[in-house]
Amino acid sequence: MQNRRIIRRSIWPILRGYATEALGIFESGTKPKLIFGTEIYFRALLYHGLDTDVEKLRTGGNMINNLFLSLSTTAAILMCLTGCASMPEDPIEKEVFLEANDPLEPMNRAFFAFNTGFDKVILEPTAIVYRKFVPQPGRAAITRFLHNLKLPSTFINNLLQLEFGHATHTMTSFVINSTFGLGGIFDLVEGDNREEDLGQTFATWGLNEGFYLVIPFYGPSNLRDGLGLIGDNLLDPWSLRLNTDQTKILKANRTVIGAVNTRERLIEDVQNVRETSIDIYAVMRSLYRQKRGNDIRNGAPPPAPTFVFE
Amino acid sequence: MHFYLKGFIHNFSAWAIIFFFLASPIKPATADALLAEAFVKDLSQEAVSILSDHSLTDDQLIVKFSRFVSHGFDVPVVGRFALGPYWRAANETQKLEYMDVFFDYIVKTYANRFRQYKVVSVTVNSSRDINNNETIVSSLLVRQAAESINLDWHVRRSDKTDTYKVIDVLFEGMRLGLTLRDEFSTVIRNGGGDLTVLIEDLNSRNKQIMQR
Repeated sequence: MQNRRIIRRSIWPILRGYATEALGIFESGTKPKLIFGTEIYFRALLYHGLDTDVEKLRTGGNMINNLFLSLSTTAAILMCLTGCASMPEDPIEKEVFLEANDPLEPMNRAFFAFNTGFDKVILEPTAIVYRKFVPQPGRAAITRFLHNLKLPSTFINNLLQLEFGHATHTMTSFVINSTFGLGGIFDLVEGDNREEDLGQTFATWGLNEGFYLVIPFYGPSNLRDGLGLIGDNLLDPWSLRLNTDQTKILKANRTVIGAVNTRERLIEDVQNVRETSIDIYAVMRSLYRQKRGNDIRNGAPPPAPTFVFE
Repeated sequence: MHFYLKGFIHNFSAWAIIFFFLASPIKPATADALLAEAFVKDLSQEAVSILSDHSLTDDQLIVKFSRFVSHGFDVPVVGRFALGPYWRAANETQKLEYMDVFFDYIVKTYANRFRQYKVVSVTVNSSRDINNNETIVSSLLVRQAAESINLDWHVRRSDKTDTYKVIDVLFEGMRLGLTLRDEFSTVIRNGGGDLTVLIEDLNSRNKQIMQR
């Protein structure tokens, strides 16, 4: 274990070294004339090589990460064709650019605007109506019911994360709540009721979050969680079983009710952010990143920040 | 023989004294954490009493709350952290101007937000030391007819004055300081790297909050 850690810590700086060297070539006057696609490829590669986040440094640098790097680079090229912010020249600007970890900002902002419009016209009004007509106990029961439906995929992710203790708890909750708890309407098992998804599993395997991503209709995400989302959909036992026409309707209903139910709980919070922020997009990005960090650490305290100013 | 023994004892007691000083913690951590908890307890009670006093007009509330903020929070530290790398690039006039607007922004935003939260009471649960003079105190905001919120206070003890100040707060694990930093640096960067853009934005935001 100790050895692995040492290897991790030594390999990653070497990789970083190469990247920094490449950046030197890229940024010096002798910048080679690259064709459009290659330049973006370079940029994406450098961008990932230069991740300065200490937390990422600690977890990064293994085989999976290298694979992930090439995958994410390819994805970056594809997406850069639709809108990509370029790496700034100024050192301070560059620092901020890297800290934001959002090379696709123009595209993301477009999707964010779209999602905000969708929310204001359809989702938020629906959530307000839902709050008006379904009383609090009913909403809480629906939340528990939907939570129970997610337990099988949480169970799979528990196993993938080698968290056998929590896997047992998840399975017990699912079995007891589904039967005696009438399909999860009543939560009879006490304890840690967190949900796990593939994005979190990837993170425990040491994968970096990749760049920030806003997905239309879905909202904030990042490359890792976005890939996880696809995988989760495939892994979800309900998806495997629910493939007839009738059950497809059930699944769609579950998605819609889930979205409205979640949105209802966030009415005040979103309103607050909208009222007090100068740049709502940047605030949402920050909050999403911090929230995911908490989920991945299973609620353990975040790494102590360093209040370095200069 | 006698002489040697005396020397040994002498030596031993000297070692014992050294050992005693090494083994006993210079600053007992538990006492420190308790002090930090007591500080947060007082501070949160003050906040609740100000914000739940509905006889105050908006202006009176702002005055009272800003006194509370400057007493309990290290606003310059929060402001500098929120500006990120751009603090270095700013000149002295800009820094002063920014700090002024930032203080107003914090006071107005959070007076407004906490009032909306309808906090009935704050219970301090636990605390953990980060380093010699920084502690995170965990508390629970109990709200009227709504789910409680986990609020952590990142406090720092000043060695000079031996007093505590809050340097960050965490809502459900999400840091206010970090969120502000991400937001502000994005605003400045998209405004062409000019701090005045942020100052203007904060100013107009402050006026809007006042009008409501």
